Amino acid sequence: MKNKYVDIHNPVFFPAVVLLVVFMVVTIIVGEPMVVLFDSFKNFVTEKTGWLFILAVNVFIIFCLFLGFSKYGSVRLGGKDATPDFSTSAWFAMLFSAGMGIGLLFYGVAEPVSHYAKPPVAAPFSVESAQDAMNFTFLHWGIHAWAVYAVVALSLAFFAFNRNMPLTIRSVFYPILGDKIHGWMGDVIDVFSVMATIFGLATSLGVGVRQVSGGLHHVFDTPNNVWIQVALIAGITAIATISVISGVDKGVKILSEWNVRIAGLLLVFVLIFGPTLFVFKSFIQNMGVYLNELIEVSTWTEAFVNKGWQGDWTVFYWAWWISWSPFVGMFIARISKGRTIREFIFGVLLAPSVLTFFWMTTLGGSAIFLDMQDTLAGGNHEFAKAIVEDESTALFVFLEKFPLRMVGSILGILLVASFFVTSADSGSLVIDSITSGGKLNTPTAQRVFWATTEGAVAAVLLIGGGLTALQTATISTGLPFLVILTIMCYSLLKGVKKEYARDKQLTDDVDQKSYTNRLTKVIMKQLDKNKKP
Amino acid sequence: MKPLKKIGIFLDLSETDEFLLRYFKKMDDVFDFDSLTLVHFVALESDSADLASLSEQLPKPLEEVIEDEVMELVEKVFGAKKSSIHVKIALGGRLDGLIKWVDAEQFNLVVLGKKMKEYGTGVFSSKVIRLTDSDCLFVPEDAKTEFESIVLALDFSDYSQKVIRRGLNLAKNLSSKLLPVHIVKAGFQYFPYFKNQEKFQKNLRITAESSYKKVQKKTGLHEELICVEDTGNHISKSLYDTALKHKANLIVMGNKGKSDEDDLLVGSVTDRMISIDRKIPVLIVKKDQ
Repeated sequence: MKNKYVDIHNPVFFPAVVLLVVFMVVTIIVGEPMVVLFDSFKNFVTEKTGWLFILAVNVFIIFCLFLGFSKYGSVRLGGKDATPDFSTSAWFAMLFSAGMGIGLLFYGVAEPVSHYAKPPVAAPFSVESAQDAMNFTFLHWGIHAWAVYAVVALSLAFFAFNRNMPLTIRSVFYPILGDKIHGWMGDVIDVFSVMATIFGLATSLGVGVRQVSGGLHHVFDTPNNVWIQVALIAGITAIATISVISGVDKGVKILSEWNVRIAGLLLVFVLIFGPTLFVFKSFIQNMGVYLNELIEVSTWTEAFVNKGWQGDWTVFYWAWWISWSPFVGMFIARISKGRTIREFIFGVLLAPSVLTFFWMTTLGGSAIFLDMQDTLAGGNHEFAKAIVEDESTALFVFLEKFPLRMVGSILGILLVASFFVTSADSGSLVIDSITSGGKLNTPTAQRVFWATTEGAVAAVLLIGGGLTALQTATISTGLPFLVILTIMCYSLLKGVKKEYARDKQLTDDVDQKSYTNRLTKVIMKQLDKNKKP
Repeated sequence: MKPLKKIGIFLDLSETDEFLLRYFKKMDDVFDFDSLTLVHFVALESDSADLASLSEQLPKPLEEVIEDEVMELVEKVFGAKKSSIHVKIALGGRLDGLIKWVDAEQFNLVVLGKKMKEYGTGVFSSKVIRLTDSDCLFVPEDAKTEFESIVLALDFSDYSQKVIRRGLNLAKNLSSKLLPVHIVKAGFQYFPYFKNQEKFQKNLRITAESSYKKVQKKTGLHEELICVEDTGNHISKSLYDTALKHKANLIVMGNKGKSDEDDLLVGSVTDRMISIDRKIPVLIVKKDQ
């Protein structure tokens, strides 16, 4: 279907829309029992398939390292002669901003303190649990997350730039399915990608709006309930929609650049007015512990003690990253043309991870440090308890310990809201691209449609079950997409192997000498002919 | 299977060109192709200053000079300038660009020559064979310009049906005899203590026969299957020896076998069939684009 107002790929667009509408209507109509259903479904998926997530994400890392270290690492995205569009430092910055979103603001303080207060293994509020807290946080936000993105981004980039295929998930399956990717199988894959992206995004938006609402409540004492949150979603989605309609891609670009700058400012602010020395010291120590315990922690499956901790945290994160992966992957793919696979793997795995670690140490680590200081001064972990009590206000409780706390909190709220706008806007771009068959310039109306839909899905999920519903949606769409990702690795390997073989054929010498002789002969013959008359 | 209508022939300005055109003319006589494109790839080294200064003295561009040279040869072989014959001179020395062009043209067949005298001069042809998606006919210099019997190398992979269909199409026009050949690969050399070798071979043969019957039904091929037992040699050697024994003039085979190794652009059997010392022309059938 293509005209002035719509340009969509019907077999992907309509099934995706129908599924979403059915989901939303059922959630609203059923109401309260849906929460119970969401909860039991989430428990079922995490309990029965949690191990699969743990295994798969580790496999993705091994796969990435294999590609990076193997001879295939020399394959260049975009062909042998492609050059990078961005300088390496700009590329690193963009990679970081791709993963830098609402999540880091929401969980930056909340997660480490939560692990410190309610640890899965050590005693609560102990030095051990503090170290473990940082370690688990690093695990969830470190190279595992980026390996998931790397697999998707590399596959998309490879098939788009080296094979000139449309930038959608189905293209990645060409080596396995061949021309069938243009048929129903490709449609099914793309529908799954759309669902995963929508629910991953809805989770982010839901989390973000909870934080904005929590922040407003904390600072201005406004009511903090689902309806305020829904109203906020409507308001912020409206702003996102306006930015989409006005067609100012520039506006969104400026906004996201400022997001990263303000986030950087927040980081520096906390670093300077917080326990500066502690941050530097513990950053090094945390990195060491992370590296040392990486294998043990990342393969830990709560096999002997099942407290259900992992399902709420690790498995949820893995599912979240997986459902985010088409979104982040597409962005990373677009900025990585001209990089070799080796550069790509190590760039994507390491650069953003290290920066995220620093962020987590500065915010969450400082919070734990401040709580320990309080306790030494005679307190009873009131600070940590206040943070853990409500994750959505964690950042604001933390900022109270700093000067200019009003300014800091308002800045925090604005930052989250602004991240919401940019995520909704760029998310709708990605979904729109998939549902239109890989096109990049689609009519604005479609992007407005998707921006609104994302807001609606987030709102419905919040009404129909709050955070549990968000997590359930993420985990249950993450599961089928996990399978797609695994097949993606195999497909990418097939494609890369062939590319390498072709590259080798193209670079080996062609017999030059005898050819040059023959060509000279032809030229001489012509010159002789000319001389004769 | 698409009929043979659009053909590309690679020429390299050597004596092989004339041979290749003469060989091909015989096919053209019966097929009467729609279009014949003579492709020449100018692979100039950037530092060959002598050549550059020479070509500067030319009264017209180098492309035209080469085109004239090629057309001269066409007149010599085909008698007159045929309107269906075009010349493509690929300047710039970019092999990947050339391959992209070849694939975009969607030739039904790409014909390449192989020199027997100068060792190591078949590099270019074998590169093209590996890189293109088009079916390729690889003709060794001095091959007989006859098409009396054609071997169809069958391994009952995805390619086998295409191989048979192409064979039937050729045989119909060239009135050749078709020889479907299957090499039974047991791999006994790896299991020297295997007791029931004969029974095992027999079973493999029965499996092959039944696979062959299925393909026969689908393609309408009537000839008896020639099953060659495993001698411990590489399949390509057994296949080549069988072709020699039956005095075959052409071998039609798939680009790859049953195992589709991504590291290889052509399968190991095909790879050896196009190697330097083999003297029978080979037609390589590729997967559909």
